[in-house]
Amino acid sequence: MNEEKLERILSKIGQTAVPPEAARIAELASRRFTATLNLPQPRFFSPLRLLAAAAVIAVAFVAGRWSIPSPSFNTATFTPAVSTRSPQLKNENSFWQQKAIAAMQPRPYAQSANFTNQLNAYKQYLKEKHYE
Amino acid sequence: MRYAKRLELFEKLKDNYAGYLTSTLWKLTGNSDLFAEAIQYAYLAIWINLEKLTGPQAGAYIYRIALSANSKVWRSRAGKDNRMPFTKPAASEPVDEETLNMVRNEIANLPEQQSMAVVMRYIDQNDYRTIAQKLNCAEDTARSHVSKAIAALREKLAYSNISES
Repeated sequence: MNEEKLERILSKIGQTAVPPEAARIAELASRRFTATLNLPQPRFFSPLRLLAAAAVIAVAFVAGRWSIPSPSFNTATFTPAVSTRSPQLKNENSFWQQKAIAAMQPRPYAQSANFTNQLNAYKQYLKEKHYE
Repeated sequence: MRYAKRLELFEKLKDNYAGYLTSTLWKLTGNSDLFAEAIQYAYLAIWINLEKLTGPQAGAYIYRIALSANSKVWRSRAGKDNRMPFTKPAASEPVDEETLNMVRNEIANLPEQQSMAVVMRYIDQNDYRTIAQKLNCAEDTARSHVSKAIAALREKLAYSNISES
């Protein structure tokens, strides 16, 4: 398509007569759009919503935990807090003290064992290992 | 801006620009269905961009709104390959109605500045000085936009089956 023809077509588009139908369609569209805009807009804090919210809060307050009377102190069921740590730990039979005492006791193995026995045991071990 | 004031401003703008929008959109769509859709898009865009339309650049924004409404309707009608399912013109219609629709479709697919420039030049018959003022650019730039738009339209329409006659 050459440029002249294109320009001619564009000019023709520009000279297109606007029919009365177009004005009518535009008017109708305008009225519809404005009617949509004029619809009552729901407000977030409308009186009805505020009233409903207040009612819900009031019901929750009455039926909720704040409406229950505070429990009376019952000495029969009261159990004092007890430490899980044994009080014996601080006594003379405490764990570490028992350990210290046990460490000071003569050890049976240390007394019975001597160098010859250990050497014999080692020789036996070597023999067994050799046969394996 | 409060809703009532927005509504009042919208009515005022609509009264001011309804004639222009009707004329331009009818010329660009050439079809009552497309025109009805485009005018709705245009009113919606006016409502959304109400604040921008009170400034000194209101005229340019109205152009932009009209052209983007036009592009939207043509795009919504175009197929996947961006080609309109044109029908053969009826015997009573002018012979080259299909050609006009093809050109309208291609105008809608042009870049925004070029589309605005070509519409101002050929549809609204404005001179380059006016176009430059409305596009907020130099006169030579406006000429450049128009010539680029014409070149792009020629290139796009070269592949269509428009006869050279």
